[in-house]
Amino acid sequence: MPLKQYNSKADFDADYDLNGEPEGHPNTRPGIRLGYCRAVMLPVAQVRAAKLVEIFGWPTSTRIFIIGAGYAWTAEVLEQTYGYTNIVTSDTSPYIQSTQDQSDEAEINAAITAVGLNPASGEGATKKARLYSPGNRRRHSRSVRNEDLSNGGSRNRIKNVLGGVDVAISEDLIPAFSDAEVVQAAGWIDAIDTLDQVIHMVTEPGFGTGADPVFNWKTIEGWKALVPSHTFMSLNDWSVV
Amino acid sequence: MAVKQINTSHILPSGWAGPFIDAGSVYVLCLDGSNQPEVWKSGTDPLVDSWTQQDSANEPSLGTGNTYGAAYQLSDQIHMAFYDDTGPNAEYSVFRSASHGSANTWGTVNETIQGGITNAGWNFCLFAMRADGDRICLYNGTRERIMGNNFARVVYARWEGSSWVTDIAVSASGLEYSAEPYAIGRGASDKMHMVFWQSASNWYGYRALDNANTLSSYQIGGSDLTPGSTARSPVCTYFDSSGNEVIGHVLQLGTLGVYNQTWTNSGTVSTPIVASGHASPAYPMSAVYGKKVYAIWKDNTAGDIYYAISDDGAAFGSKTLLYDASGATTRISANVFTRGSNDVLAFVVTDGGDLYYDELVISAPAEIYPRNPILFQRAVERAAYW
Repeated sequence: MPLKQYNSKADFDADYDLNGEPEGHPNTRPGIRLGYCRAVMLPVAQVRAAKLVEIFGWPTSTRIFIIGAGYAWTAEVLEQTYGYTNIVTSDTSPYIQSTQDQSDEAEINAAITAVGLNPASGEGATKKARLYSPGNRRRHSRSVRNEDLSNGGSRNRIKNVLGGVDVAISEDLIPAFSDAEVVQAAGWIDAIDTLDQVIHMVTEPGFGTGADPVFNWKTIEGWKALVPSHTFMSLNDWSVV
Repeated sequence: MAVKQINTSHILPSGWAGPFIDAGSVYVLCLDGSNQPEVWKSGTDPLVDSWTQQDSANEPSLGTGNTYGAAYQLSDQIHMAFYDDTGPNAEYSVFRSASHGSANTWGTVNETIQGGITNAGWNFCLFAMRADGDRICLYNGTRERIMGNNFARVVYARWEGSSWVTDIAVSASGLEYSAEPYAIGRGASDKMHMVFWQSASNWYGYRALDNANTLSSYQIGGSDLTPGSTARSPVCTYFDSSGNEVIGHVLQLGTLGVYNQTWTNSGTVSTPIVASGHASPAYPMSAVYGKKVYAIWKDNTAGDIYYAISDDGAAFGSKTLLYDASGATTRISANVFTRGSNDVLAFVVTDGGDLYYDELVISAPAEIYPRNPILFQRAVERAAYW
């Protein structure tokens, strides 16, 4: 069982807390904070995608599989900004699976209400217009599959979507697993296809105190020692080993 | 040079604290033994006469106390921002100096800039002002979190006549952008130049805020820089001999030395210029005089204070002793102003736990006439008429 599971909104809220008003707010009220929402996480995904392209520079025909993809925002940017059209994604979080077709409007409304504004009028409506696209905007822009790769059937279903996989990427996934689980998962990924590259994007032990101690925090060098055949990319400073 | 002791058992805040001059009196912002802000004022001659604490009954109060604060002089007032760990808040206070109608008294104190800054991480509170009185505070906002890990974003707050708008992002979102405020200063056209260090990636970031409150694009200074001091020198700007405005920040890089990282207003990044001839520096400070940047620092080996000059963007010259310490020196704060008939590099140091003032004459009067020849001619004509 993973060290950290994202089964519910509460699980995400505990680990994602972002400034929803980078444009600022009056000092007479708190700023709007958002959890794992598109408005605050898409900018993060844009940087991740940009760094992947800058560092690895694959041809746009490359068949890419992203596991631990959340709502597939990084995949969305890779496709829409950089032209990578052959991407398949998976995330086994029950929360991701059950909410990916829903909008995050209610969550945004709640965050705006929490700071004393009305999302339907005045300043609250202005803030909402920036944080939320009108209409029934779903959280994902593509269907996120529910495959854990633990058996041949699961791996084949991923492989068959694109007729093969060239590059596999885990997106900030492995710190939620024990060493033994990571080694096992690495074997499952290797078994998907004859892969050109497997890249694990990982958050390293970072700034200050207060990082959730439940995670398996390692530097990318530490991860590399555990799975030498794979590539590890730091989400802290984009170094790669 | 004649060194003058200001007081005992006081230190300087982490940011720029003067000294400032108004109506011939010199002022310095400092902290008492409990890290509570005080303003001390010189007598007629700051190198001879006693310094006195001003309006002690109405000073700001900072909870349990810390040293994260900085000041800025605009006309007859010394404005300042501090991180108050009660709250915790970023707070603003103002002291009214000699030529103010309420001379030598505190005005507003402990005004909340932003309240409830939880887990900010680095608590540096830096401060500068536009010519029209707009106040800009650069600090860390409430800590953010991605995948269970924390990052600190540099934000600024501004006051434009009525109320504070706070928590305005300067550094970008994401772990790699975890950043610490390093310097702020005002340049031409009332631009506020903001410098910060991205801790995860060891990058030096820079953005300018124009007077319409538009932030310039994100500029990265030298990479693999690891500044290592609790002192924050202000941004120094000047126009070089080609007419380009140069924005510089003097910083300490570990034990490598003191550097002057520069940008231009177009965003071009220049290689840091080394203040050469020393190692093991600490407590960097800077001041600008014309096209000359004065880098000032403590030599950790000798314990004394040195300076070096970069003229018009050239490499720094050799170091010169500025202050011969008798005890353990820590932070330094410096400024350039005209006192009497001289332009001076004025500075305050903490030496053996006490504060001392001294100054270096950097220009004797070059002319005896008013700088504006038309006004001078009119003065001559009026004198002849009368």
